Amino acid sequence: MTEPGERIDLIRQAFQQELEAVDSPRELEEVRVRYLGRKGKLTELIKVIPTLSAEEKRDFGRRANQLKQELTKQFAHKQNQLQGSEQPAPALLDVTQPGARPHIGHAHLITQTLDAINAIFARMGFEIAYGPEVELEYYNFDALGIASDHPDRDPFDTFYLKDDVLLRSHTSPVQIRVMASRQPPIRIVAPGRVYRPDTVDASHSFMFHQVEGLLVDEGVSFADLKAVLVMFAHEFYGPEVKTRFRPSFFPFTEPSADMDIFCRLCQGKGCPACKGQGWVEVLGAGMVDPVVFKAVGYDSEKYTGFAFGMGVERLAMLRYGVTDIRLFFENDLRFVNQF
Amino acid sequence: MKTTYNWLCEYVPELVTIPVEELAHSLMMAGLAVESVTPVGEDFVLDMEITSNRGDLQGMLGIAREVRALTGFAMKLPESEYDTSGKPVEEWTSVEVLTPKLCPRYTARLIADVKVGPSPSWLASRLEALGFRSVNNVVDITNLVMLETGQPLHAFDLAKLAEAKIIVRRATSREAITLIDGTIQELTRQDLVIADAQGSVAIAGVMGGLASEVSSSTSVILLESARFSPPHIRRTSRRLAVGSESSYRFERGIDPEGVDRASRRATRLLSELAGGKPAPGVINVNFEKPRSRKIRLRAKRIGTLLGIKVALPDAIRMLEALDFSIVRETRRSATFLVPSFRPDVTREVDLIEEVARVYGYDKIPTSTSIGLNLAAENKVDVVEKKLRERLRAAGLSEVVTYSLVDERAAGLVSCWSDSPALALSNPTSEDNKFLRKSQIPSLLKVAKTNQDRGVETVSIFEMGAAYLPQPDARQPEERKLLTLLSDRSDGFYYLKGVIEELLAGIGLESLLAFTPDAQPFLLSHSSARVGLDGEVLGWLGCISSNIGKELDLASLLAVAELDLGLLIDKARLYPSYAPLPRYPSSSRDIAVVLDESVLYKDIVSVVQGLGIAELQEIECFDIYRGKQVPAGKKSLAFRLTFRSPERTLTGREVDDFTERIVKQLENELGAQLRRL
Repeated sequence: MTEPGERIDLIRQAFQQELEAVDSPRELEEVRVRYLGRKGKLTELIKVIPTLSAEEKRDFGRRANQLKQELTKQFAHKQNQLQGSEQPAPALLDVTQPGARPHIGHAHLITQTLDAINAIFARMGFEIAYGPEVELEYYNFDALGIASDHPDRDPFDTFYLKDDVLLRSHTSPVQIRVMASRQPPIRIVAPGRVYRPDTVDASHSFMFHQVEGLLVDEGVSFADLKAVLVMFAHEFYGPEVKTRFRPSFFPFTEPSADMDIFCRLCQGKGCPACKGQGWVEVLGAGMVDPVVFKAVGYDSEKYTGFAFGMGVERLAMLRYGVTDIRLFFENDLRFVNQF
Repeated sequence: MKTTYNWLCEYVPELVTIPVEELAHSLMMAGLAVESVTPVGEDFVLDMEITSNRGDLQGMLGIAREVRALTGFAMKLPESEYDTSGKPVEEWTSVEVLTPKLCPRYTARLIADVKVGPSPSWLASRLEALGFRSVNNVVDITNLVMLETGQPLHAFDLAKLAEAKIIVRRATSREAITLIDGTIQELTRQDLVIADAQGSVAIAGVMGGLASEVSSSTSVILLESARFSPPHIRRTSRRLAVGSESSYRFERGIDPEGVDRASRRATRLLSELAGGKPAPGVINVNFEKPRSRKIRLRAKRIGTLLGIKVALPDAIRMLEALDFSIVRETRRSATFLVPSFRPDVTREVDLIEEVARVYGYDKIPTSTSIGLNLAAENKVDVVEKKLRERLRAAGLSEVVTYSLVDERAAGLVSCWSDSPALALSNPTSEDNKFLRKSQIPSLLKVAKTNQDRGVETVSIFEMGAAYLPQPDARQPEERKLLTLLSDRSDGFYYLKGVIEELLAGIGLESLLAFTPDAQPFLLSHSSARVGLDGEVLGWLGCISSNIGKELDLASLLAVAELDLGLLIDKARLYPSYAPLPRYPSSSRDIAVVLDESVLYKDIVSVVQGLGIAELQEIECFDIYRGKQVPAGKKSLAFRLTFRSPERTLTGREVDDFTERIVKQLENELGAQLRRL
């Protein structure tokens, strides 16, 4: 029989040899059972201890324990190695595959344009004011100096409900309401839906959106009107936009003007977008007529002011190249979701 | 900078007529920010934050000067006369300044026969009120005069100065000194020291050395009063991390003409309170040339800059009260001599600021001549914008439809008003004759258009108005509405989720309630009224099959219409911060089988009715109907999440809560726990 001490060394050697030869988890397990298991060689070794003398026991016990720790450590190491090599390589991602796109909705182009216009004026200190769409004749015409049998009324064909109740044809009534409710200085824009019984075609709709503005204070002049509108044009159309003002007519402003911008598409040579003019009309404006101030009780000697108005769909069509106004109200999502 | 009310009254006797709060307020409004007024015994301590350009306010006399300018009361300067005796100061000691740039002025007075002892109680208590420890009468006097004048002083025991001389020089490299606070500092050539024949006895302007400190055995005092270059003091102080009341003041600039005044004042007090006998004369090493700065102020310019009209005589009066003396006057301008303690005043605009301070900023009108106004922001716009953003994020696109509709559409939905829709008397077409009473028919039309054209998903919204007839008014009520529509197969719960998210975004989610409510345009088994805090917010449901057939819709559509005006009105725009939880949560999943007829809200109210405060959340993550569940029943799986704000809950406690909840559901709703 071999010496107990020798046996320890033999077990150590054998274990290391067998462990090296292990190639698979199954083989590893077999080795474990054979050496470290309940009936394994290590356990067998421990059984030897009672046969030893007290002195031998101590020394042997120590060495046997040492062996156990060594073998366990080597085993664990082998286990790690095997595990590492057993893992399959992760699949390479196809980075060209489309991403999982979130579906986000779109604000309507009219709303976007309104927001852009309002924001520019808000930065100049203009408040946003709203008013009813179903209006009284007084606010839509009379207070604006458009008398009932005045020929000026014709261009403003209007939808009527009954008597003197109508659908507003512009957002000017809002300006009247605001002026009637407080004293200058006034600085407002009034956006909203307006209605005109036009035949519906690619550039006309019986319902559309306007933004009108009003600024009343002491010492306001036509120069201020030009300054504000040119600032607006630069913000809305870009700093290189060229503008011009032409005399025009509105019953509630005197003098009145139209503001054009230079047609970028044809660079002024003339094209369908600018109707061959080279310039596109974008808004109307003028100094508020004293007759309007009279209607709201302002002293027209002390106060002056200017007003302006623009069609939102028209501006959006110019800016984005939309060719048919009816697209705004059809709401084909393939149109809405483009913006 | 601290001062006391009583102390100030010593210099401005009439100040007693003004209560301390009023004084504090006036000082505050004149630019001396009073941070606190603390009663101490019979007195008040005022703690002021002095701006760095006002070195003259580091002494109480400077503050008293401001008080005089603001109140018009007379100022009483402290006494600084004293009698001299014995040999002149030059026979006692000498002063050599090797660094004129770092020390432009050094004065030394000599007081003999000083009896160092405790200070009189008035002096000690005055110092203590301002946070100074009473040391002995000599040190206390130097501190007192520093507080009074803003000029730091230092007393040396002459006997401890080698060869009884003072040399002001740079330290040598690695020169060390033990300071009065016991620390040892190693110096460099960048540091300025006061030295005697053997070595340094003080770090100039920062702190004195222990060796030459005044002690009970001291009898002859050399009193230093000097000016040092502020940036050097600052650098040394920072580098050694040693600061003192002295260095603080030197850094901010000392009045060149106050150097000698303070020295005389301290000398007087030393003779009065410490039995000292001042030697005649003063050693004055002065490299400074007296400066006199003159500034011309144009009356008109005051108005241009400040927006107030101040007549020249008034401006002169205000500035003279601050010790700016007038040297020349014309009809439109005056030239002033700047006092030595105001190095911060160098230009006309600085004088104008002084005028503004005395005039009172609050008296300058708040009106603008350049036409500025603040355009008010409408809550309507703010809320609509917020809602629109959320709707977009939820995947809905915005549509804008006509306000005028045809007859059939006009009568389709009458949930807001059952009066007949208003009709135009001169419509351009029968299609657009009536003012709509709901946006739902318009959105149905949009859905159909899109479906006919093969557009895949239609989830849309509109923010517009309906025009509700008013019997007693000529104009209809234009009620703002938010209308949603979706053709998703889970449309009902999708829109319900959107509504819940929308309202969460404006702080109203907890006020929402959905109750079954039949409407003619909705499918009866899937229609609900949406309530907001007890008011009707709107309706949600699936479009009725009749309408679906009539309009030839390709699929089931879910719609919701809400009173936008009510939402805007109730919207809460600013959420309050809720602190984050400190302890982790613990959850349990349960599944219970219940009758179909049991409503979710009943389950929640039964669970919440138990009053388990630690129950944070009940989330239903699955609803199952099918083979494993009897007919007429449904199985709901819940995650119950528990958390305590005070500690981590134990597993036992959480199990216990869960058990109680399950029992309650069993008892109240006949639920059966389903083993998952």
